[in-house]
Order: sequence, then C-alpha cells, then structure tokens
Amino acid sequence: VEYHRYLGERVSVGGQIVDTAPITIVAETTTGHHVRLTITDLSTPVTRHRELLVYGIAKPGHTVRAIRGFTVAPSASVYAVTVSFFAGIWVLARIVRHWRIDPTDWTLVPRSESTFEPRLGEGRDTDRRRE
Amino acid sequence: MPDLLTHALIAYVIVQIASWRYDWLTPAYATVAMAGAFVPDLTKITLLLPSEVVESLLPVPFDWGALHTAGGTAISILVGVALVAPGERRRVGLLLSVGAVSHLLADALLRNPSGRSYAVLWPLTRYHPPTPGLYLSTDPEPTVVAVIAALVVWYVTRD
Repeated sequence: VEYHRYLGERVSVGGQIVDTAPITIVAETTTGHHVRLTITDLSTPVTRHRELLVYGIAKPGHTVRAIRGFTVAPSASVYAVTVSFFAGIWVLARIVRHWRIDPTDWTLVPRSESTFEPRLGEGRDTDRRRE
Repeated sequence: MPDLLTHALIAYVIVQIASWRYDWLTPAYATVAMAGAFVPDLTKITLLLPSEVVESLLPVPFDWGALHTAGGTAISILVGVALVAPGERRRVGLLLSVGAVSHLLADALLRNPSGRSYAVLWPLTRYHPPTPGLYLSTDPEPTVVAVIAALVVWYVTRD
C-alpha cells in the first residue's frame, strides 16, 4: 500500500474500529487492500466495532492525526440490509404488476388497463385521470 | 443513505406530487422513478464482485464506485431505457433520471468529516462539493420523514 505517497497530506479515511487504545481502524484502500491505521488527536469517544470516519493529516507510521471525525454504526447493519431487501421486493412487485414483457421484441411495456386488474383502487385512479 | 427504502420513498413522493400536474404519471410510471432511485446503488455489486477482482482482469483502473456518479448513472439509465418499448423510452428515461438524481442529491447532503461530499458530477469534474451534513447514513430521521411524506402524498393522491 502506497501510504507514503500521502504523508503530510490531508486525507479522509474510514473503517471499523478494532482497538481503542490507541484507536486503530482497519481501512480499505481504493485498490482493495486492507490497512491498519492508528488515529490520534480524536476528540470524540469511540467504541469497538463501530465505523470511524476521520479527516486528518497522514503522519509516518500509518498514523492519521485527526482534524475531525465521528463514528457511525456499520453501514452494512442488519437493519439497513433488511429494509433495503424489502424495498427491493416492493419495487420489483410494482414492476411486475405494472409492466409486462412484450414477447414480439422482448421489451417491457406498461400493462394496458384492459388487461390489468385494478387493485387497491389504482386502476380506478388511472381511469379517473384519463377522463 | 444506507437503505434503499428511503431512496424509493423519496422518488415516490416526488412522482406522486408531479402526478397532480401531469395526468400521464400513472402508478406504472411512478414505479419507474422508484426503480431509478435504486440505480446509483448498483455500485453495491462490488459486494458480489469486488472492484479489484474486475481490475485484475482489465488493463485499466476499475471501480464500481463510478456507478454512483452522474456519468455512471447516466450509462445505467441508458441500459434501462433500452429495455423498454421504443414508445416508452422518453418517459422511462425521464423518470429513471428523476429517481436517480434524487438519490445522488440525497447522498450529497450526507455528513462527512471533511465537510465535503463525493465527486457527484464525475466524470465532468472531480470536484467534491461542500456538504451541509444534514444527516449521517445511519440516522433514522430521513427514513421517518420519507415514510411520513409518502403516507401524506399517498393519502392526498388516492381516490
């Protein structure tokens, strides 16, 4: 990892907190490598396993002197993944209900109102708007 | 924001409000905008097929993160537009764009330690615009606000 290229520069880093004395995070680089970074001068309290986002100066020894930073819950939390999954199902169900594949040229076309069974009042809603 | 539900609800609210003015905005087209709100997060494909694995197979630098920018999203939308019947392409392109832009804008307001957002307009510019830092990606408030707004516009728009 070419950490030395950033020495003395302002950097934005983030990763899971694996140690709190000293504060250590495992960050993923843009090339997909994982690097352990020590964070100093951070004013906010930290707890293990949360994600720490830091803006600071890259110092020798894979140490970042924090200017500002805060922790967030892991972005891939069970809550976020679950809610996103159901949002995906919801929109997929809407696509299936409102659109169909036209077998002649394999494109998606809106289901026409004549073949579409109104549900939850949406069909009637459409008719009303078309008047 | 971390969850797609919030993004889908934001797109739903925008399209439902627009439907008060534009009669052709039926629920089928609202669905298109909601699907558009998922488009920038195609970048999450990296969880299945990491960027660096793709990069190792290519002679050029590669990062799925580009899909979460104006340029990458535009290409994703063109693919989506190609999937629908020719007569629907203008409306579908417009509504996928509405959904995708709402997603990129909502994410551009996220709080960052640097006070800067991401390179939302890449590849036009690598400029990271300042972010007002309205919320963290893990705050529940944006989701609560989006749910309430969606219920209100649903109630107003229904028969």
